[in-house]
Amino acid sequence: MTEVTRIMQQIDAGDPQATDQLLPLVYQELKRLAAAKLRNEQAGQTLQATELVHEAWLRLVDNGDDFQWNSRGHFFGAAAQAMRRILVDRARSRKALKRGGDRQRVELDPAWHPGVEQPDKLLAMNEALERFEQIDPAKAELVKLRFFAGLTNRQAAAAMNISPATADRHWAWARAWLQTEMQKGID
Amino acid sequence: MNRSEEFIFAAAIELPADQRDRFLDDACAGDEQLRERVAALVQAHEQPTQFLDLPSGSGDQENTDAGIQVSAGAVIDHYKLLQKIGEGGFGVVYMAEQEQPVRRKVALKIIKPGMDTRAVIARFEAERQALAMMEHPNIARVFDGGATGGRPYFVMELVRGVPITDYCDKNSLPTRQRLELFASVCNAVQHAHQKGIIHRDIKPSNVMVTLHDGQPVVKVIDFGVAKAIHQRLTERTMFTEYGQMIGTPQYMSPEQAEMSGLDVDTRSDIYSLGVLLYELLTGSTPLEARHLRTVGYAEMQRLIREEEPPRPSHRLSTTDQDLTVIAKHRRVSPERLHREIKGDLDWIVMKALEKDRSRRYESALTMARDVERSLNDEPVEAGPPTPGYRMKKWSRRNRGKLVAATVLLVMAGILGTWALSSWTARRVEITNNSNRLSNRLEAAGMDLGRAINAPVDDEAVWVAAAAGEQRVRDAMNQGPLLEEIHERAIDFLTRFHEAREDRNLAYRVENIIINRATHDDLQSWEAMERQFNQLFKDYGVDFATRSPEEIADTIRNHYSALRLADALELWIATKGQVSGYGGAPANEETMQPWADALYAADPDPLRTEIRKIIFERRPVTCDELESMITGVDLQQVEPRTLSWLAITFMMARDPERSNEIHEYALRYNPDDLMVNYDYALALGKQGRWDRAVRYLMRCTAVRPEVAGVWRTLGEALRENGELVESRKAIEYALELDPDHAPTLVALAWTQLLEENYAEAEAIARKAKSIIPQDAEAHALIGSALMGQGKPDEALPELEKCAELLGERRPEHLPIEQWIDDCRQMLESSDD
Repeated sequence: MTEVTRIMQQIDAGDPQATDQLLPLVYQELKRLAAAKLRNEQAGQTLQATELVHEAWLRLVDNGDDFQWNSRGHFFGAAAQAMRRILVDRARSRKALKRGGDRQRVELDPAWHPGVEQPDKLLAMNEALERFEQIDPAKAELVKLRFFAGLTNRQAAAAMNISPATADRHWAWARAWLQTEMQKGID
Repeated sequence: MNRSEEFIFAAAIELPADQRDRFLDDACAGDEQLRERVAALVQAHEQPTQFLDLPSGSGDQENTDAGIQVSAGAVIDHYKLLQKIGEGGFGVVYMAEQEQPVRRKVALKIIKPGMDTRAVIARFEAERQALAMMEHPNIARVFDGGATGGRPYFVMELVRGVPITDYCDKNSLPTRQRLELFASVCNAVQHAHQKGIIHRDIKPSNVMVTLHDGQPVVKVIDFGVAKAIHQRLTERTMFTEYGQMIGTPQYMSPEQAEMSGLDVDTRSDIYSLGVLLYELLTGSTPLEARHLRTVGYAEMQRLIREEEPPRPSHRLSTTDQDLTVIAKHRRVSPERLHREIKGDLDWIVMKALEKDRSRRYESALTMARDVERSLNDEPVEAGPPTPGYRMKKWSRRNRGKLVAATVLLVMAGILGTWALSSWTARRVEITNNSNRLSNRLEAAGMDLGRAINAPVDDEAVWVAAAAGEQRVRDAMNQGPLLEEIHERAIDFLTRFHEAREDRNLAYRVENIIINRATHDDLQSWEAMERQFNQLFKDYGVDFATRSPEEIADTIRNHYSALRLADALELWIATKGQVSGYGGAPANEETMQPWADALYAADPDPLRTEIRKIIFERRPVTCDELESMITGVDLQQVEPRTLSWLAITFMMARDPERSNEIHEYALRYNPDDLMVNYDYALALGKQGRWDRAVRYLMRCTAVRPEVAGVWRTLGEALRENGELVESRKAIEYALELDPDHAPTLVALAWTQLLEENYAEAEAIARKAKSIIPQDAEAHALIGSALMGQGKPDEALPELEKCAELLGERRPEHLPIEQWIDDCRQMLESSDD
């Protein structure tokens, strides 16, 4: 049994500590996968966040297909959070790079997430999302799943155990809220 | 607590875009900051944001329209699609690149996927054939045609131009050059007519101007709804199949709007040319788009058929737009512009716009000729050909040669006028008064039409209508009038009064239903019955003194027959509920005469049939219902009746068909309160609270001041697991109606589910203090006490609930289960 499978069983059994253990594992795997993928990637092909996350799922969890969506939801929640960290780190280092600071190697291809190309926007979005999490954690979770893990509305709804219609409605609010907040930051 | 931004936002985005401003004004009630914030949120909602939307596949939303698979970048046969340049109901137009045999840019029009039904393909084919038949420098040419994946397309000349009106305004073309361009439009249309093709959708966006060697050239495009003169593709089928009128209302001829099956012929295009010329001259169409948009479908048809537009010169002097701005677009002074248009051009336009097509120009060519004549200061065919008019024309051409003759003529004129003056004075007064009143009646009639067709909740249109009515009254008191005009005014005042009363009635009935109809106690139902009694009394129907037959008769002949029949039905249902909860007894026998009265009262047979089904609760099959509506044009059925029809399909256990009918009703009446409300409740019955929330949100946008809407929204949110939002909505309902027991009960439920037991208990106790017999309040107190670990105190409350319920066992109140749980808790604590 992989470690991730074990943790997820603990989560299913109601162990609140287990969720925290999931994040670092998923984070490591995603980082590794992204780098490896890009080295082998043919020019011109794009790599989506959602593909990365699904690949990580298949690698980290035994018999991934047999798992209930419920625990899958936990996994994707962790993956979204991990992706967020990766992206925010990248955006920061890109900005530093522009200022001629830390000459870190650019290891991720821009194509895999629109946030990579626009570090300022991504950081603004991240800040807005931090505020939104304080106000409405459930809808913020939906944003993370959609924006960072690249899930579709339907997948995100399933991961959160709400209906797609509800997810639609929540997304409309979250999206408008974040956009106006980000706008404020720019003005 | 204030209504949260989130609720206002969620409700606003459910409204049609043109109603949002007004809604935000109401909802934010003078709180400018709040309004600004929500407006920004709504705007953000409308804006595409690649950044936020891109990472996830957002294409799987529940209500996405059939997407278009053909998109830029694709290759169809040997055409490479470059970008989308236009989109209609059935087709999309792309700019495309052709490689063979010549390399050039073309326009490629293709049917949207999912739209490739036989009727659409036939129409599409008709357009292609029509275009292929024509060859004229002012008409876009067709090069090629084919089909891809079963969907036909055709390729035509790419017209890179701007709509004729935009071109004229942007280049500040003076009237003369506008007329010259217009004459070439006439020539193109004449060519089509000679080939036996009627365009049927002439409007600025279909009349483009491109530059050829620096010279403006007109191109008439989009023969998309064109029809060969003898073709037998009936409009009727297209209309009913797609619920859509062919053509664009402002430019549509009366016979086209009528859809009476009367053959539309070339003279319909003449009418549209008249509208186009009107717009080129005045900057607005005779019936203004902004106005047509606000009226309902029937009223729109009426306006097109009956409304006499003001002459162009008159429009210029009354327009809302700044005349100086319009004049600047023509590089002339406002006075000069007015003079240019008054007279000949007025008459040419008005002749083309005749409601009776036999009085229009008989061809586009004769119209073009008249335009050219006016350019040359020759007498035009249109208008009153009085000797004075001909004289004026002649004299302008011979200015300076005529001084002596003019003096003579003027002398003759003065003498003649003097002899007639005493007789004319009174006549002039009557005419002036009558004209004034007539103008005001016209305006007030339009305002009233708009108000009648607006949703019940549109306050602003009624304010406007009332102002119009006042102006009519004022004009009636200003002196002698023509008999005919006076009568028209009296008719109008009656119509106004009845329409306003009808609207007030609708409003009252709806509020009673929403505030009371989900109640579960005798007191509420008795209150509802009293409200109905009062309502009927106010409308001249007294239950105490009149027999059911008499009442049916009164209602049937009442101007608000439909609404009073609705109210009567609700009154009957209420009496049934009162009896069911142990109040004044009512049984089938005592109620039958009322049911019969109801069937006799409603003048609409379809409604009566549906009523019988709902009211008698008899088992009904889908086949029965389908055959009932066979042959009924659902578009003509008013929304409330459609909503009932949907409910009967729920009774026939066909929720899908029921939802389909509700969706249909909402497509044409997105802001009808009761349709949204009924649909939400039907969805709730299907367990689809997630979707019900959306329609209840819309209800809160439509009528935010009714507590019942908020309570129901709160309940739906609770059922959907959104407890925080649920609590907010119900708290808002309580703000509107503080001591309303059922709302308190609803709040207690939400608090209970949020595990706020002490609050839940306090609120349920408050409900109980208002209605001591409320079974649910007892159950909630008991349940909240259990949550606080006080089963000993809980048990008597739960038992009281069971006692009050008697035989009834509402699904949401598993009282036996709770009593068992409570006893177990007691036993285990005894151990």
